Amino acid sequence: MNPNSDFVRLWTRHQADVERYLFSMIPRQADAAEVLQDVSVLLWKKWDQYDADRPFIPWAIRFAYLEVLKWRQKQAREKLVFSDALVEQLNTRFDDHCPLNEARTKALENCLSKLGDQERKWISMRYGRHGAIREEARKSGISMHKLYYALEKIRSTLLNCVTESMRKEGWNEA
Amino acid sequence: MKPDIDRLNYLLTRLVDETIADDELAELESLLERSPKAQDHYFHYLGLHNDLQSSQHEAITLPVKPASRMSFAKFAAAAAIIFLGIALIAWQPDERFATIVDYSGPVSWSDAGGNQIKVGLKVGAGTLEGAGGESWVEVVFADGTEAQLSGIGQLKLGKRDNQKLLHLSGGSLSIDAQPQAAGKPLRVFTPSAEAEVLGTQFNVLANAYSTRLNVNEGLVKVKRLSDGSTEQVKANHEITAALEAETDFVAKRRRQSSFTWQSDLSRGHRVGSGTLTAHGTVRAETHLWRGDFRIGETLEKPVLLHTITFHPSAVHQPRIKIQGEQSLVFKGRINQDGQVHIGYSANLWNGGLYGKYKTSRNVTTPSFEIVIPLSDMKPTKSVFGDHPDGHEMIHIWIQSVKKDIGLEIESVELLP
Repeated sequence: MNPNSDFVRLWTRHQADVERYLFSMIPRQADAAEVLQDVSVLLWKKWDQYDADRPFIPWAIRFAYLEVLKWRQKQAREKLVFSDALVEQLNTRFDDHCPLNEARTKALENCLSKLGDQERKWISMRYGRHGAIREEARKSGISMHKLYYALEKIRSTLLNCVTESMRKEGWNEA
Repeated sequence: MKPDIDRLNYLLTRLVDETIADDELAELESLLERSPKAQDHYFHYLGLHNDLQSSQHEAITLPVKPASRMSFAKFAAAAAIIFLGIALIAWQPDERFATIVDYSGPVSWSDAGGNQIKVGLKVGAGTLEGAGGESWVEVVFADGTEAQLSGIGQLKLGKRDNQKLLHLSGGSLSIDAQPQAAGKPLRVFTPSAEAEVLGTQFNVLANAYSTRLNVNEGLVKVKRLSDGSTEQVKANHEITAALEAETDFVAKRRRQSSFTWQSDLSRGHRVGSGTLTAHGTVRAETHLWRGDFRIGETLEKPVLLHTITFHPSAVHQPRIKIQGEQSLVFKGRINQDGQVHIGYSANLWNGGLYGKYKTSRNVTTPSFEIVIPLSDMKPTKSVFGDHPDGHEMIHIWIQSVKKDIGLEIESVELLP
């Protein structure tokens, strides 16, 4: 087995977990995506140090955390989202959530299918093409404020649905 | 402290939509700093947002920024990753070199292809994991070499240059190795030792701190990882490699067997699964499992198991021989009524799994003492023999399924 192919497979499989982690540490999509890029390159460079007996995600997240700190240093003159102390707390607590991410993602697929057509359309617009929500507001005459309020409700519904699905399936950390 | 979820949702919406005002951000930060529950909710909310984002876009296999926004070196590295990904996934030859021939209890297989465990599955590199005391799985390599993993543990299979590589991170492994090609011994790695085998039958019991290896036939070379010293272990001998280098590392003739056994939790007796408490008991450890522990099938809905396991034949004990009408006695406590499942596994005296046996009892009193004749415990699989008379007791487990009944064990005894 070629070690590079091992890296590609593991990264492909676990990229979403690292992405989720980074977004929790840097809750600004574009910034998190940029750091994700740096993390993928760093991990590849460090791949020869990876101990295959140990799980991949904690190893990757250790480097991701270093990249988060590096990113925060670079942003020193700009407004950071959270304080150093809170970022450290969140970094520690993320470990507890990691094992259930996959289950939550699967539960979400099911919950999305339970939404009405209108709700699904708005979700699709919000998370799909950039600017689609603004366009919808203009076309439909519904104010942007109302659309964002509706999205807030939809996310809340989805969150409750995911939590309930997890509970029903016996996951105890939902 | 319980956070105000509606307020938190409002702030989180503003955060992910990047419309949050400075005073709202300060409020959110304060809420998160004061409340672990709020932090949990934060992770759930942002995870949801992230998943929604991903669900509306095609999966990005490997992220690449536009060339104009990244250095050449980064671009080259990321591009190389993509190239490797495509090339290696497309051209990787089929490297299946073993077959899962049987399993029972909560056992999983994971590999790069996402294959699910089933009898007859041909596998290459990947990991077998047993999540319960009653877990058992047997793999046969193309040359007929057999490996059996029992109990809670993890075994990673690999092959490099025609050499079999097994990484045992915990649990009990039994190997019956066919003669291996010259210069290509089968290698077994544990957290504390490394063994090389040319063709033999032997058993390995490993945890994070030590490894016990006993050889029934042939010769095994063992290296202790803590100091690199090596020792050869011949038939009917055993050796223990601990991470503490000052402990003995000498192959010895197998110790006398015993027909009785008693746990000694108050002196820090190590358990396979469970948490030792300050008052000398061991508390059940919770595992999440996706397999039906009763029939060895994969479940769509995961099951929570709350398990304590003991290794009566662990490193400093004489081997336990099962004989005649013996009983297991469990003393412990629960914090709510419930059913407990109790079982044990037995190896053939000369190595290799003999069988696993179990029964269940309802426990209705906060403090309990359960006496179970071994004859009351039934094989977990029809291929296992009726009673392992004359064979070695390896694991004992007690667990509750789904419901956490606050199981704690004070002592376990095997009585004649």
